[in-house]
Amino acid sequence: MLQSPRHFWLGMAVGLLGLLFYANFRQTEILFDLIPAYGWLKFTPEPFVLPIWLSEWIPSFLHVIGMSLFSAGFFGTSGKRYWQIPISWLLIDLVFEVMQAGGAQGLLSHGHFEWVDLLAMVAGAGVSIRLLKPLTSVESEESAPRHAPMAAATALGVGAFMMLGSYVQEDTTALATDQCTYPDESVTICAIEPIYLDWELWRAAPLLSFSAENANQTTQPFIDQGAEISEYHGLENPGRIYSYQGLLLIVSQLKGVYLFDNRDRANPTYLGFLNLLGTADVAVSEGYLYVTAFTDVLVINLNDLTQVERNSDLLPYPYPDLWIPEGTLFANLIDGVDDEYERTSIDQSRGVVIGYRNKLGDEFFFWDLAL
Amino acid sequence: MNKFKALVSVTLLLQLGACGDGSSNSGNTYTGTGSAGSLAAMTTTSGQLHILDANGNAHTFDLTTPMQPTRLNNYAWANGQTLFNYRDSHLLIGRETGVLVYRLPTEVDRDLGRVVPQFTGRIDHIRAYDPVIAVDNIAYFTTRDGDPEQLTRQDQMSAADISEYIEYVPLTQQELNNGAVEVPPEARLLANYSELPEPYGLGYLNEVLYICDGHEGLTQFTVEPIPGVDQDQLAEGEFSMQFVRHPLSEQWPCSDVIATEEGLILTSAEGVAQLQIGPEGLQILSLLPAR
Repeated sequence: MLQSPRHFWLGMAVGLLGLLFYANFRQTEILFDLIPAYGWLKFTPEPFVLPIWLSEWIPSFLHVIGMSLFSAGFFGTSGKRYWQIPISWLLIDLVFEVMQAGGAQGLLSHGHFEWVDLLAMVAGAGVSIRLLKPLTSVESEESAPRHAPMAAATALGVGAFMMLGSYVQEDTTALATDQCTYPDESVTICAIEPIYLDWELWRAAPLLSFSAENANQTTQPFIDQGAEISEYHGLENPGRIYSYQGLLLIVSQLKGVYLFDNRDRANPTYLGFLNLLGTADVAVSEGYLYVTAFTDVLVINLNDLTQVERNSDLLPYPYPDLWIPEGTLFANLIDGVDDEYERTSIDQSRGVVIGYRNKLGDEFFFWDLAL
Repeated sequence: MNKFKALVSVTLLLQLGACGDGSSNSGNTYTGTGSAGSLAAMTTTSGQLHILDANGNAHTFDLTTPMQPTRLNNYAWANGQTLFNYRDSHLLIGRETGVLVYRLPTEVDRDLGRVVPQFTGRIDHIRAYDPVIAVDNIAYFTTRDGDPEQLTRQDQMSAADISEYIEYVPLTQQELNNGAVEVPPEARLLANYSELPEPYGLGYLNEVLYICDGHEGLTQFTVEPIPGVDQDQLAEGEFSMQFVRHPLSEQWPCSDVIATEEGLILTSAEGVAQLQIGPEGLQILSLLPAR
């Protein structure tokens, strides 16, 4: 049945290598986790952390090689097969990759579209062609396969199985029954809905507000011209701090920056607040204040507060995977008919995910959680 | 009574002085940079802005037009946690598996069009989270297991001599082509301390190291030579220096600390406290409590 047992077993070995990779290097949960025996393949309690440029392309690379070897095991490498097989798998994998780019929702297109993946597949095809190319003229005289339909079915089955490994599991029944614990100690099903912050709303929100009580010569003109007033009511979620020439900047995690006049350290005076959802860090250089918030970098000229520039999309989209409770998965809660919930992927066009909602209707925002 | 009057007068004068400063500063000119905590994931170096995104990848921007940072490069190191600007000459990146040292472009480099930080080397340690600072060619970094209640192998503080990294100039492609051989710099671990259950942010001032511990709050250390140890004849794994703890009279919670000549600024979930460093120890100046 097997035209070339050598290639078949090599393909299996590559497949096993791929499984080992997923078990120990991939951080997102995948379909294979459903298999109890899968746990044996994990050598470390947590996945090794590979640089992204490495971990993104290895599955694509191995998949083309593995499937080519596997198929060659059944079909043999005679004639033009030694390059037809790898090219076929390259095309199949390309179709899947392009489907991911289309942003279609659902099981098959959940991974992220990456140019690196495409290159990896092409490289995999190249390597496969080299591997499959017959060494001697004797090998090229192999005859046609005898059990083509079964061979094709098996190859497709294994290939699909490996391919599915790169996507998050869609087990609708588990979503309806698995229980997760939420930050307020409540327990309900693990399906959650993302709460988006609309891009336009986010970028249109007013930024600087000032204390009228503590207005100084710099801030008073802004107040006179109708700038927002905000008085101090304690620090909310204090995070990183930055000290700059008598100014004390305190980040309110994911919400903004408190501005204090700190020339008298025994009595820091609240000057105002920079309202910017997503604020993570601040730094000042040559009089320019830089604030990072999700994808944007805001710059304010401290020597002329009218100069405010928002540089959008300087940083990559922040996926909330690390901020949601263990075991929770994004799904469509509303359309849950007969306790079946459809998995959803994050729709970047709707904005940044700033929190989530569970089945009980409770909403949790990331800025309330310890980060 | 006289003393009291004098005190009040002095206080008033000081406040007037402060007001005076304020009015003369109304044409406030802010220049230079400030001080960040060791947990910062963003830092500016001479003319450049470096940011660690949510995935831990580093992005470098050019600040020639200060209001509009322009992208120069990004580096996909997984899980970079903190950034530290060492004397505008090197960038230290604290990450889960160690500390990365990058050489920032000098004037000469920029003239030659080399504007991107060059990788110099890395210091490996056990996998944990860590901020890093450096003073006088010595890097201080902490690693922790994430659990303030437990002291494990991962809860460590270390001091490493990084002079080889700082002096190292990566070979140019031409030099490599001519047969020059890369000799990667090495870190020399000087001291190690493993009794703090959750060492976190750190600051350094006047040869005193301030470490924030998740369980014990602010702690104070100096790094001193171990008496009787011959620096030139160290056995394998032997350290030449040690962390010496100087207990504080009070406990101040902190996750990170900024240490400057004016004093300490601590931040924690409980708020932002400012301490004065005096001959009699640390005294609290002000506290901004969290809600």
